[in-house]
Amino acid sequence: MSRTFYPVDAYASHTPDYQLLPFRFLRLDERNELLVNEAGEFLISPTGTTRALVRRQLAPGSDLYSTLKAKQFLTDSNSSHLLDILASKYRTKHAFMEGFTKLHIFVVTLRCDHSCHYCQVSRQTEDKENYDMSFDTAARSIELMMKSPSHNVTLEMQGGEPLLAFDVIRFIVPRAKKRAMELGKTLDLVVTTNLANATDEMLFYLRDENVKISTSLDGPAFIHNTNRPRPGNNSYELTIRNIERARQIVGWSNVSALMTTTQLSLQHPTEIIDEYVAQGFHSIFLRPISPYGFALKTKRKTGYHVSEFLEFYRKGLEHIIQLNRNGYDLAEVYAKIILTKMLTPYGTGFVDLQSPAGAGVSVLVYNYDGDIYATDESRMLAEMGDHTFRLGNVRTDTHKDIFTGDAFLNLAAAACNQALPGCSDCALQTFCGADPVFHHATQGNVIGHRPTSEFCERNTEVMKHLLGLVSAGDRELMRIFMAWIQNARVTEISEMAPS
Amino acid sequence: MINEVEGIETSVGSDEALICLDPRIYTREAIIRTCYAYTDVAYLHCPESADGKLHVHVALKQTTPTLENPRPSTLTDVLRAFCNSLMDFELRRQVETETAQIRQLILAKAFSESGVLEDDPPGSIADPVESTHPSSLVQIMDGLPKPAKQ
Repeated sequence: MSRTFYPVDAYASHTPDYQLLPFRFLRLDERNELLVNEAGEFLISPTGTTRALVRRQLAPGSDLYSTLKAKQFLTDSNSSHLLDILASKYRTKHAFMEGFTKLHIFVVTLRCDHSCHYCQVSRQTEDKENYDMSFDTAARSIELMMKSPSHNVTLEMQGGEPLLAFDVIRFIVPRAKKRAMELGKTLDLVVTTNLANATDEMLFYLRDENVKISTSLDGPAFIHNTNRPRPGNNSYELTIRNIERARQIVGWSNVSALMTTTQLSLQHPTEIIDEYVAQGFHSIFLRPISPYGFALKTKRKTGYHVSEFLEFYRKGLEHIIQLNRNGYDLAEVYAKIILTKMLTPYGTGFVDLQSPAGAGVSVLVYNYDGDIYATDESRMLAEMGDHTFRLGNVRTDTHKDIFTGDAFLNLAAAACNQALPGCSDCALQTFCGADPVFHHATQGNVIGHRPTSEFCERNTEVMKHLLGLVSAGDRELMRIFMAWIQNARVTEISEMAPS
Repeated sequence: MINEVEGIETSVGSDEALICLDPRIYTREAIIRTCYAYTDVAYLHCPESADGKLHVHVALKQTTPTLENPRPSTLTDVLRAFCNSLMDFELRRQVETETAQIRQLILAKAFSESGVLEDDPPGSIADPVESTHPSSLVQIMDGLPKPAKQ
């Protein structure tokens, strides 16, 4: 005589008793919703999951229940609270805050040989006296910069065109190195230049002083030269020639390029990306135009609606992914930043997508005249007559003055998306950031209005698009994404299970 | 025009409507948050009511097509979406209320090493499962609000 038992489910509790852990959710479409917990662990699940979870309607033995438990959306009597683990994950995600301001941008001159439509501040002038940073201002800026509690600081020299004020660069570099060494800080040096005026002497100096080069390349000649006019209309030719020279002298990996998306760029994502491939770059940042400075004045010429950028971005990303599938390693930096937040325990040092916002907390700008701004965009606004984010001046203010002054406190009040209307209960909060300067510039106040915010629309749509790609179960695509996150070649990433 | 469902009544004009919500089902907080989410397409306010219901007055911002927005939202679309969003915001509020204390505890533990806290949070970083203090879990759980019965 055989004995039969009831199935295992019969012995399980039918009134699940579990405790919710903090999380947020968002409907992605008609079929799926996104759940993200406090530490950034996420799950894309059929619509209704949150309702069932909150109503205690999930079967304890189900895969969904186990997944939610493993990802710390709930805890029950069979699981430890592991609060310290959650706390540790949260702290890791916010590790970028440690040490406070790391990036220090020195505007060594406003002078420039280009007159780009979207540029905010450049001046075509020979007047060094009025538009170059004086040695005294530079010295004071270095002293203030070194007051930052961070052990690792980056000094980025930009303009205008900084190579036009090479004497200032030659003053800053050894002095900053000396002070960093005395204070036990590590110092990274970068010069942001269009390279048009780069001589071999300059490039050898940058090589010898270990100064990295960041240049601008907006795409093929017809785009680059339209976006970046200069006498002779030969910006593209000079840039390409000098990228090559810089690579030979300073080193291949020490030369990077950034592009800005203008209205002209919108129709040509493929051509722009192919230009980066043709020049041997392995990363590209499909960057929207900043709505500041002259870009605001020339909006009809350079600006566009966020939906147009999103179409450009999706097409561009698709092309980049296809290039990777075909064997050419090319990372898209915007996606890489967001994917790092989504797929790793870490945050990023990208100041435009941080909470607390990067302004002041992660970056300070020391203008040629000694004024200090929270971000480069704040400086652009100042050039348009809006000095809201002028935090102080190197001659009159101390480090403490800067961070306890009204201008910084105004920023700080809107710096955390955890406390902003529309962001506080958004599931994308952990992956996103706050940008009080952007909202001040585009909507008239630092808090902003989320339902009409271009910042919100752009980041929400890009994140939803990336979540859709991540959840598609495409192993090859996940290898590509992991290669981007790890700064590795796709072939170095082992076969991955679908998420 | 949307159908009337339990807890929601609508009074619809050509480009404005009054939504009457049952306060036993929807909280004022969830309603205000939902209203905020629709301030791009409508003017909304929550007038006082004598009938004990929570009222939301909705008036479309744009009713006729323009070159910039050739297909403006209709009132029916907005009301339907509003009601769906209201359910989501009510759910969010429930999760937020139920997990508020545990969230504070996580944040307190996360930043306890920064030295900004006056008191150490409960638990030990060296004992993440709190095996040496089994009662601490009970203390944490006891402080939490009980989940609402559905």
